[in-house]
Amino acid sequence: MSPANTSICRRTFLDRSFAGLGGIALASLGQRASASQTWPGTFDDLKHHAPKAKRIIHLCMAGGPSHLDTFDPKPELNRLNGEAFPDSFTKGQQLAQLQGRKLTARGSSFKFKKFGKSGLEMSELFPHLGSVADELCIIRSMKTDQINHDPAHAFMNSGSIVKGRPSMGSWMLYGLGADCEDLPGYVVMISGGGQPVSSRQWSSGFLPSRYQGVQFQSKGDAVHYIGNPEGVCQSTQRQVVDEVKRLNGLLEGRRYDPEIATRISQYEMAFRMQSSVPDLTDMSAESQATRDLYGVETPGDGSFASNCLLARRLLERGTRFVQLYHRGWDHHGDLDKKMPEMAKSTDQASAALIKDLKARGMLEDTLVIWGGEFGRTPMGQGSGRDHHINAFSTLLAGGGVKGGMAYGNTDELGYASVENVVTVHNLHATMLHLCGIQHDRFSYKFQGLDFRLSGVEPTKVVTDILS
Amino acid sequence: MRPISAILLLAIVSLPVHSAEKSISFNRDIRPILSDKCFACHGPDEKTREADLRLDSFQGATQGGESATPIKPGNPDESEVMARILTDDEDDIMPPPDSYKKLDQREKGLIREWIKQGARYEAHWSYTPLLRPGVPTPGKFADRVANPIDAFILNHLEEKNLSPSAKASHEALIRRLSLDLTGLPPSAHPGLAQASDPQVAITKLLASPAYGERMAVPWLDVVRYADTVGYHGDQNQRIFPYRDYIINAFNKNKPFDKFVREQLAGDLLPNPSEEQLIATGFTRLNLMTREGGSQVKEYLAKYAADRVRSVGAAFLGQTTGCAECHDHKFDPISTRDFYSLAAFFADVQQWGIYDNYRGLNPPLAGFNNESPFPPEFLSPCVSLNARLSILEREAVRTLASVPAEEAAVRNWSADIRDFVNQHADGWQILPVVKSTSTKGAPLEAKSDHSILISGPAKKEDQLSFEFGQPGHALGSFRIEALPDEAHQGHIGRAPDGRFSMAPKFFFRTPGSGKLEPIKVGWSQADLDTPPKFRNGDRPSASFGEKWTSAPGKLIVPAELSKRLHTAVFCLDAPLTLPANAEIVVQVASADIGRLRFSTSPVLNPVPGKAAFSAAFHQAFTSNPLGQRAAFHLCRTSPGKLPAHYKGLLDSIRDCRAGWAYSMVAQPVAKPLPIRILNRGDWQDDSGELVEPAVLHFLPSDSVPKDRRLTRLDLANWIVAEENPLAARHFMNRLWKQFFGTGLSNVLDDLGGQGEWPTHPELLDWLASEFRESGWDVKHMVTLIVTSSTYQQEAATRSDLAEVDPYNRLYAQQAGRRLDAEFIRDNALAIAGLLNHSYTGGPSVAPYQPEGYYAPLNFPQRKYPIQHDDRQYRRGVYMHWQRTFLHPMLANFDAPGREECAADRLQANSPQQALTLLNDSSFVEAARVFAVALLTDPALKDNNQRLSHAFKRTLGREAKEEEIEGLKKFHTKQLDNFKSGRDDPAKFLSVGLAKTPEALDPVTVAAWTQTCRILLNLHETITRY
Repeated sequence: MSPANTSICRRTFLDRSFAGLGGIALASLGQRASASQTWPGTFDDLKHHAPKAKRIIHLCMAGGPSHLDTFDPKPELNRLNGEAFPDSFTKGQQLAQLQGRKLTARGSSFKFKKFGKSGLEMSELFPHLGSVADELCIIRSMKTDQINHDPAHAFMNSGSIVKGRPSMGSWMLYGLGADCEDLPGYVVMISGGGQPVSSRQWSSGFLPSRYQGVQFQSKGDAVHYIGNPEGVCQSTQRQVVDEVKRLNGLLEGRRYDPEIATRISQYEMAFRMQSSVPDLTDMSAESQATRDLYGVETPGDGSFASNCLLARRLLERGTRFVQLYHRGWDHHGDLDKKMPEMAKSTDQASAALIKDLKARGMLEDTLVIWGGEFGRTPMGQGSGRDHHINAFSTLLAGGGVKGGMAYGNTDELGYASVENVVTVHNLHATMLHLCGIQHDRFSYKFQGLDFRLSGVEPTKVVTDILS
Repeated sequence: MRPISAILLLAIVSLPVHSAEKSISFNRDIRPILSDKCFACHGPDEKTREADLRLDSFQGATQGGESATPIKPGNPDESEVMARILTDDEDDIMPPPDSYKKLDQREKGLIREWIKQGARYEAHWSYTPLLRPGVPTPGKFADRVANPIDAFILNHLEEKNLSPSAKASHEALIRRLSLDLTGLPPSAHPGLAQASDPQVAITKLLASPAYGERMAVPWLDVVRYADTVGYHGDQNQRIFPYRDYIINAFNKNKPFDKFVREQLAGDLLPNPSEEQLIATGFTRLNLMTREGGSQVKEYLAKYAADRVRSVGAAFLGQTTGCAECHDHKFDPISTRDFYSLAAFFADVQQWGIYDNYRGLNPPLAGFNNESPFPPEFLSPCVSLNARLSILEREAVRTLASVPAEEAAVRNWSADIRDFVNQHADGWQILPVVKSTSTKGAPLEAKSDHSILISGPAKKEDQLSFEFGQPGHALGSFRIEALPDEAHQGHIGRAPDGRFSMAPKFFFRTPGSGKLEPIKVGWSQADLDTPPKFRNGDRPSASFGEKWTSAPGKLIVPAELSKRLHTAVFCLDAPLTLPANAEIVVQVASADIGRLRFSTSPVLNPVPGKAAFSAAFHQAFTSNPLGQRAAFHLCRTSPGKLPAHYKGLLDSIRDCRAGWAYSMVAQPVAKPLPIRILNRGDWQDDSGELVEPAVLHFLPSDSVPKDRRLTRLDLANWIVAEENPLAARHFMNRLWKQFFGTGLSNVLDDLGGQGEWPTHPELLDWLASEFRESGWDVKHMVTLIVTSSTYQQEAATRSDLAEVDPYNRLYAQQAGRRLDAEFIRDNALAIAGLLNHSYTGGPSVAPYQPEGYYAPLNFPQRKYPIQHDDRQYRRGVYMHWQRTFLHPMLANFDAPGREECAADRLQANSPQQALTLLNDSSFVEAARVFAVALLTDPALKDNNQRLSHAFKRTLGREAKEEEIEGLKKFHTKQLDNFKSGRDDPAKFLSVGLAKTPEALDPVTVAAWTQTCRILLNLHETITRY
């Protein structure tokens, strides 16, 4: 027996150098075995109750879509259109570019319509999402703390604006692992142009780096360095991996170093990924009907629609958390032209994803989240709207959430969430709850503190929307 | 505290205590338990304190509480604390169930025993005065004691009934030393592998410039050094001279106290040197934004908090960030401490948004997404000058091999010899024959042949100067702008002492009198202000048509306008003027003060430098080949020279005549008001204003009490005799560098939630020695690496794998994977591809997957992969994009440097395997390694090549079973490429380096595969 096979080394292996892509190792080696090592102190069981959702897809509408032109109809605002915005709403409040300017109410140029049996009111710009209205829970009373894109994304992802905090995808992967053997457990894709999105948004922060989101690239290799060097075929690459393995095995016989065994298994995993990732991204087997459902023109073209389809393939294969950023919602100006464009580029594919998941029996245990990092002002900013933290809408579907409901309300002008306010931490707590995790028991010790995704302050799960 | 029946206690079974006779140490045994399980509600934070009880002090624990005595020293049975932790009643038990914290039997037993022994509190270990402990008398392992470090370690081992390991083999030790001290393998240091004595090797390695590059990496992590600003557009910032400073500081062994002072307050030192000003870049490494719509106040608060965290992380090992919103839960750091620390930096010139967004920051008018982040310091840069000399030598070498007609070279050499002798710097100053000003500015010719222009600045003034001919064919013009007392020592007549000018060059043909323009292809100045920017830097090293003097807006020092400025105007091709033709230079300038004209036969001189460089002189006075190079420099248009030369010329120009910008602290007259922000809310102006102050709970006798404190006071206090943290923190981190774990292994937190050190006396001894040695870093490094503890064998003992899996007792050395930068350095060095010709310099851009920066915007950008020698510079110089760190660095756990990182955690992931297998850098390194093996005349056959390759990679001889398998593998690869299964041509095309055409592609390809194996080995990326 080589020295690395001693029991202590196995423990060390589990604790210290646990294999790479998050869930891979957790899944294959048993979660319980590692739980006592990875949750010091407070955890004796990983899942606190039966989960409704097994996986999550977050369709992040980066830039901050206007709730007033999408999912939060405000007739009173339309009536006030062009008039001075009542001072009583805005006094002493934090605004972004509108700070200190003359404020004018801006109604929505778009018609709202009731959709589905539930009669959910949504903008006509989203007929496809309207067609799945009965699956949707629209939270109209969201609130965030951060008024600029980058910190607002950070807050939405990690519940904090301090750098180095794990994103929610990393938390989920850390808590639940993933069911995919040789694909990343947390995948991020980006489409559209506009405001920058930092890779910090899918950082594992102080959690071990194996929980980091893996960004799939729209150009070149989907995963960095997944392709063999030019001119080398896969079976030759196998020979390379085998010879590396053989020599590492010899080293393992001479050194008591658990990292060697881990290294050997990581090379195996890497090699498997070299086939599984191309298999995943090869969408030629998807039927024309499926492509049409999503509105994919060319699979793999980097469009939001293509990313949605690829996301479904990932979810099918056991990826725990998928995040699709679609940029271009930062409508400071030209809103009447850009909003329909953005709606068009996301509506069909978002709805298709929900339909497709449902058709495959996956919607019931997949939580779909659709929304931006903040909302937009009911006050006009030229031909657009400014950033707004007091109110915005987020859609949820599947995964233990009631369909066909709107939850919470903003005031009559859509300025502030006033009824059943849902904070970002509430959303995180609810998301964890749906996945079987009690948010205040899910922590990680860093710099002496037990950090939680849902923050240090008491936070509630939004129980009213649970099915 | 409400009492529960003490009778209950009688029923409690006795609790286990480890070694009951042994006295319990509060710091070692009790504080970690109380801190983790109790202090959140019964600790320093007043706002969250429950039942008015604090357990973090003797007084609180023995007198506090609402009714019963929480802790009765000596009497656990009458201590309410014991009752509460022992009860089964869910309403009474502590910690309460909803905290999800539990005490186990061992912990309960320890608390009981501690109370029984008198409940003695101790100040937290890292806050106690740093006193030099006595070195223990060596015991059983006395013969293994090389220095005091060993005495501490070995006595501890003896207590634990363990024995130390044997000394590592010589070759293993050399490799360990080389990697630990320089981040490079032994083969990168000529003669190192032959060093017979480790001491010789240590001396050699400590003297290598690679030492500073290696030592800089953890420091750059802990101060979050990066090339971009981090927020929103994550634009580039200019600060590489600060990195140069750090590398040089370690190389020159700058005393650590000085190092601290210069970074925090170099600008406040008397007559600060350029280096000391550059060091203040530390205060500018906070993230910054240029996002429109950002709130100035909000971001100023973010920057302030960022700096407070950096002081805690870099110098004190304290998690000061926790106190931004509330008093620290575990350490005595208060919110007042937090904001008082922030106040130290209130004098640093900064803007909430680095843009004149909506007129909020008038000084930044004209700034946009492409602009740099002022204030910046412009100064001559040693690394750029070093690079310049190397490039000039390389240019001469290149040109020496470019054919030229022999007779032409000979004739030219003969003709120019006198000129070279008379004008060693290659410049001939032209006396003015005639000068005019269209606006009637008074002109005066000075004895040095310069012309002084007087009077007020006049718009649209056209100056004209006429000269006779120089004694050589024209290669370039030079204009010097000189400071003059007539202009208060400035170079220009503009109110700020600056100038701008647009010169045009002509010659007047004798007879016709017609002015013929002389075409200038390239113009560059040593000092100027570029007309525009691209992603934080100038888009071109040339200033184009108009030369505007330095300093640009918000560039310091202002005195640059009193410094000689030089510009060169390079002709595309040499020009021999007609006999008796006169030179005419027309200068459109309202405000130039005094100028002087020169010419040179050299076509592309560097502004501010000799046109005849040292390399030129060497070439000119050497053999005919050298003279050929000198000839080309003067006579051949770059357009007619090989592409490689043009590349070199671009690189030479890109050195900006050796000047560089670096962000610095620039003190403002009126510091920003800093107030305690209620729960960190920047919109809340109700908090009290605070002045700079050091942490209230630490001794501060040396700190002045009678005036507002400055950053220099903060620095002085950090390295003051009374400060117990700085030396402990640095030594703890240094220890980790050589042993893989810290003596206290939570490297970013020496506070209450950190770890009780495994060897507290050793840590204190090291810290005292460090301080008493005059903060001598190399002295401490030497002590560590010459200890027998350091020099033990690594990871060879099965008994230790059981009892000390993390090697916290140091009965052996541990294997440790190299950090990201050194994994790349190591591979490049093994291949012989590493460019280590100079130290420091601007960041470099090695291969990176295409499109990686696509999500970036404002401005959009493309990663500029470097196609020259900079591709192969060390990892420490890699461009650090905070929001999109290079995937190779990220895969090997380098931090994004958005926050200070006192430690790097190491993962072992499939992405690491993919990187080593497939990243172009590593594939190319394998190929270049292969070529080196195939072209080394000393290696006669494949067996020799293989053995040599193995030794070069791992620093040890290969074992037979290793070699045998590799041979088989190699044969298979030959077949693969021969049979066409794999494509050698494609495979060899990875990377910029050229494969010699004389070599058989199949052979090179197969060897490349074999070298890939070696570069992928776990042992290769691990130091044992």
